[in-house]
This record gives sequence, structure tokens and C-alpha cells, in this order.
Amino acid sequence: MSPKEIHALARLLDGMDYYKLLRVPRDAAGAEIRNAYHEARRRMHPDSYLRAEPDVRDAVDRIARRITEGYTTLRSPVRRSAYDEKLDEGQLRFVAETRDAARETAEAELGNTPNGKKYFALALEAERVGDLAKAVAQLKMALMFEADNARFKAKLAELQARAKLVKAAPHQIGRN
Amino acid sequence: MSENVAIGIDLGTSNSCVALIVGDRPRVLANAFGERTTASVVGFGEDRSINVGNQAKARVILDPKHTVSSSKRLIGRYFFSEEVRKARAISRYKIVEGPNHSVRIEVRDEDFSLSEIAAFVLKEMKQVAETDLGHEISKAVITVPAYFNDNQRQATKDAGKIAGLDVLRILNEPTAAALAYGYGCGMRQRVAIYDLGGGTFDVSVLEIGSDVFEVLSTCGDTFLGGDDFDDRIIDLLAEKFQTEHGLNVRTDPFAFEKLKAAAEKAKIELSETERAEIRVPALASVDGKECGIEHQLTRSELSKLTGDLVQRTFQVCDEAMQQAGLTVRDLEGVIMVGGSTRLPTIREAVTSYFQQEPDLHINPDEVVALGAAIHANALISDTSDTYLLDVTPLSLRIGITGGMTELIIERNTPVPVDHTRIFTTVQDFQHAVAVRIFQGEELAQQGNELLGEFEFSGFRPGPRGEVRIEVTFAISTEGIVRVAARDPDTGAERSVTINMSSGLSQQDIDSIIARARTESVRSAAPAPGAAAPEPVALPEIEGELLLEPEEPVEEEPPSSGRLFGAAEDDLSGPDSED
Repeated sequence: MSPKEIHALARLLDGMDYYKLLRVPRDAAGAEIRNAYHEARRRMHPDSYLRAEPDVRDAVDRIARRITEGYTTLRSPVRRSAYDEKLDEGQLRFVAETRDAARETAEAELGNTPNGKKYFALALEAERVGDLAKAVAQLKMALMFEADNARFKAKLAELQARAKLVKAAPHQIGRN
Repeated sequence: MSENVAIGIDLGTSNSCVALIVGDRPRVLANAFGERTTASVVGFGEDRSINVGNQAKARVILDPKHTVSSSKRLIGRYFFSEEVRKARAISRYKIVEGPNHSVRIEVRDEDFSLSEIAAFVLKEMKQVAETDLGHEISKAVITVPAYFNDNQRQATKDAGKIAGLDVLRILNEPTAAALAYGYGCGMRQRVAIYDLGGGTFDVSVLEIGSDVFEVLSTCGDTFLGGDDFDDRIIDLLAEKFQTEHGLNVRTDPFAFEKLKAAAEKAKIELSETERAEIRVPALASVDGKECGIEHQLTRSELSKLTGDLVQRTFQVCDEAMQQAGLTVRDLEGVIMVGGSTRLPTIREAVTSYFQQEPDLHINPDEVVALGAAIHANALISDTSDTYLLDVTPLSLRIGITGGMTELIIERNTPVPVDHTRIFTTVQDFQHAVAVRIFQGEELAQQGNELLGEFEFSGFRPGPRGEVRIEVTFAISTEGIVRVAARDPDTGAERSVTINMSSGLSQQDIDSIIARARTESVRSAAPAPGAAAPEPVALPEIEGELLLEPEEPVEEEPPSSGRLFGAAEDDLSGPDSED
């Protein structure tokens, strides 16, 4: 791409959603998204612009970062469905939800043993980034140290239910 | 002419290797002694001469105080880190504390940063290539373990600059190895790269298409390497000596180095043979009599001694497979990298873990340099036809109140990547916040590596919780972290490339380079007028960051201002209580 085209694309970036950026349809399957990501990175790899002017390199970097952001969001079914909801409301970028640190610190203190606390906190963190499988695994670890903790059990049930939901409704067919 | 040449350098813990594309094939360049790898050992002579390589390594026993080896273990580390503490306990050369809790090597009344030490090795490798080619070279790709954090990457890049190299790119060792093996070739393949070097272990899972090398996951253990295998043999020998002669030779530097050399030699022999004879005559004198040690080490004995170390590598492999969402059955290939993978005990264990024979047809000591040369060549020619898509090996975090961290970018996220978050102040009319950046997998600050800390001020002060501060975190394709803080209302901005732990600012590096240029051979006294690196005082922490939205908190949370509860040193300065 010419410097002019790169600058033009960089300017358009904030008006593009991830599907447009990766050039895939809204109902693209996982493999399609991955191929599109590879294709997009071929077009826009910082290594290919090592000798370009600094302003061009900055623009390439910015575009490449947005491409990986799009890919990271769309490759995870959990993140993708959260993004789709926001996209329907007109939000083009996916921002991990801000959280109430004070509340969560209080929640992380719920365990009665150091390891229980630790794994419970890790489970909450995994949940927040959308990795339900990891969150479930961490909660199970927490329960190994505190088998009777009612809060842990409730959280585990909640996460497992959500994980099932994601599995039962694969994203690709869930949307029109 | 030299414009069109770029070398690949594998800067290893024990040995380094340099390669170059000749025609269309990568070739390892041998040093003046005909050796294809050069020991990463720097010797400082009495006449102020500097020696790098196997010659210097031979002096480890005779002159341990002035011979610096395995320094890669220390690069980009804080003085109070576990690794530095460990090194100080066994190292014969003097490891001292520099500005910003950085590490310095004191030798012959001079202080060297770890970047400078690495630069001596890099200069030597540059020299090897220049001798071979007959002209100067400046462009290079330097490899680092995939699991290196930002501090370690920055310090390595600085070393390149000090050595007079134009570092085109820092490349991950396993990615380089995959390039050298030339996987792909039209097929889509998934491979695991098991990299056991002298000082670090990491494993990466890659999916390789026709021209795209996509890293799916990288996990590692920077405290595990071939040196640890040597240590087990040393322990065995030292214990045997103590039983036979009642003397602990571990505290005798001279004897220790002799044992270390014998242990390494035996380990290498066992790659070829079933048993190795260890014979160290005159190891130490007991009651005025010189006593030695003899031991016959077998493969199975070594396997027993090091079984737990090998198992530790597989725990890391489990993690990497899980992060990639694959099982070993999904893999089409396993590549072994690093001299330590020569050990039959490791090869057998790897074969059984991955349920397939590892690919070994490229020399594990050379494969990384060859891959680096391939990539270096691709970067300087316009016909680049391979695309490396890497991930960040460690989660990026920001320090928040209560000694905790907030996850910003999760590990194994593809790079380059950026992330913007809004934070707020904790005190009314606070006019500065300390932004602390960590890498690691723990929630508490203490369990993570501090990358750096900067103070952001210039925003419009207001009641606590009402001030908005936008912080953007970016990780480049090289794994280098950049953080910028901005007040969306006033537009005030501060952006830094995080590089605290090398203790070298850009000015410091420039002055080292300038000094190196003006002095062909180092003089005894620092060059007059050369700016001595000024210790940069850490910013006074006036307040901490909190995420919004948030509830008002007590004025002084019990652990506020503490960075490392258990560390010897506390970076928080005036706020610390003990």
C-alpha cells in the first residue's frame, strides 16, 4: 500500500467496525475470521514497513493494532457476542467492561483460605476477560480448598450455565 | 554494499551464534578459531583488554572475578529480584546495585550495566561476521527467549545499540527456529517448539500456513535451563567429596568452578555415550593434602538427578497446549531448540510427552541464529514473503490501590495491540498520579515484574473520582511496551517507553556509545566530560490510580504506596513504613 492509502485507511479506522476492518461478513465462521486476519496482517505488517517514514510506520502500527484487536474480539465466541450487542447499539470498538474495583476487591475477599481467595479472584478475572472455561477451572480449584463455600458454589453454577449457553448457541448461526 | 546485508544473532546464555544469508541459504559464520558458536563469556584482562568467547571461558576457573558468564540471566532484572539474589550467591564476579535498582557488574574498579556486558558479546559476533565478509555490518536481528519480559527485551535492544548495531528487530527464539525449519511450504501445520537453553525454558505452539507464522501460545520458565542440570551434577560431586573428605567445596570458588567445568563436560559426554568418567584431581586441599574426586556418571543416574527439572518443563508445555486450545495429538511437528535438548534423557521424555519423534535435523545450537538471519534478510529486502504473528507472553497489568493490579492485556494476546482504559484519582484535588506497569500472572503487585513507573500530572485537579485519566497501553510486534497517559479534558499527555530496569536512559546509551567511539581501547578513567549516568529519582507517589466508577475509599488504604511487600527494597520511597 502507498503511504497515501495507509494514511487514508488510518483516518477511516475509527469509523470501521471489526467486520469491515477484517473484510468479513457479520456471520463469518471462525476459520473465515482467522483467514481474514492472516490476509489483513499480510497487507499491514509493521515488518514490511521498517524502512518507511516514521509517520507511515505509526499509521501502519495503528492499523495493525486495530486488526489484532478485531481478531482477538471476534475469535472468542463470548467476546464476539458481547461485541455484536454493542455494535447493534452503534459502538464500533469492543472495550472490556470497566468494573467496580472496590466491590470486586470485597468479593475477592470472600474466601476463607489464602488459596481459596486466590483462585476465586483468578476466576473472577478470567470471567471478566470472557474466558469462561478458565473461570470454571479456577473456581473448581477454589472449591478444592473450600468445598463448603456457598458463594463459590453459586458462582460455579452460574458460570457453568453461561458456558453451556455459549456452547449451545454457536455464534455463527445465532445471528441473522 | 553493507546496506544490503543484515545478520542474525542468537545471543544465548551460554553460547552465541551469528548467521547470514548467502545466496539464498542461511549460513552460520565461524569465529577466528573456526568455532560456530562463541561462548557468551566476557573476560576483563589486567591490561584492561576485553576478551570474549571460549578463550574468556577458559579463564573462568583461573580468574573468576574478572570473567563474566551467564549474564543473560541478569539482563533486564532488578537488583532485588530472585534471579539476581541467586546469581549473587554463586557468582564469582561482583554483582552490585546500580541506579533505579538496576544491576551492575563491578570488575576492575569499573561498573558495567548488563546491556554493556551483552554489548561486548554482540560486538564480538558483529566482528565475526565482518571478518568473514571483509566489510562493515550494522544491521542485525537479535533473538530473545519468547518468555522475556519488556525489561529484558529493552535491555537487549540497548545492548545492540551500544554494540553499534542497528537492531532491525528483536525476534523470539522459537519463532526464529520455526523459520529455520521452513515449516509451512503450502501446508497448514501446527508445531510445538521446545526450547531449553542454558538459562531459560520456553515452549511455543505455532500454526504455520503458507507464509504466515502465527504463534498461538507461548509459556515459559525463566528460572530453568541447562545450567540447572549442571548444578545437580555439581551438588552430587560436592556431596560425594564432603562424604569422602569432610570438606564442603561449594564455598571454595576455585574448586566450584572446577566442578562446574567437569559437570558440564560430563553432561555433554552423556549425549554421546552411556557413561561419563568424571575425574577432578587436586580439587581442594584437605589437611594439607591435595584431594580429588572421581565419579562415573551414567545416563540413568543423570535422569534420576534431573527428572523433576524435566517434569517442570512439561508443566509449562501443558499450559501452552491449553492456552493454544490444542492437545498433543493436534500437532504435526515438534522442534527442539537449545543445546540442552541434546541430552538423551530430555529427548526421550519429549518424545513420550508429545507422542512423536522431535525434529532434530538442524543443529539446536545454530537453528535460532539461522532463523534470525532469514528474517533479517527478509526485513532488508523488499520481497518479504513470511509474516510473523506473535503474541505477548505475559499479561500486562497496572497497579491499583491495595497493592493489587488490574489486568489490561491478557497473555497470549496477538501483538501489536493497544488498550485504553479510564482511571480516576483517589484524593480530592490530587495533582499527580503514579502509573505503575507490571507484567505477570498474579493479581497482587508483588507477584509480578515491575516494568516501570511514571508520574502523570498536568491534568485538571478536581474532587476525587471526578478526574478522568485515559491510559493507553501498547505492545509492539517486538513485545515492547509503551504507555501513555492523557487527560481527555485538557489534552495534557505523557507517553513513555517503559525501560526502568536497565537503569539506562537514552542519554546514558548515547553517552556510552560516544565513549566507545572516542576510545578505541577503554582508558582507566572515565572520559572527561562523559556524563555519568545520573540516578533518576523515582517520582514521589502522591496518589494511586483507581478504576472508575468507584466508591470513595479511606484516605490511606493500609497497603497503599507499597510495591513489593516482601522485597528487600521498596521502590515507593517516602511512603514506605519499614
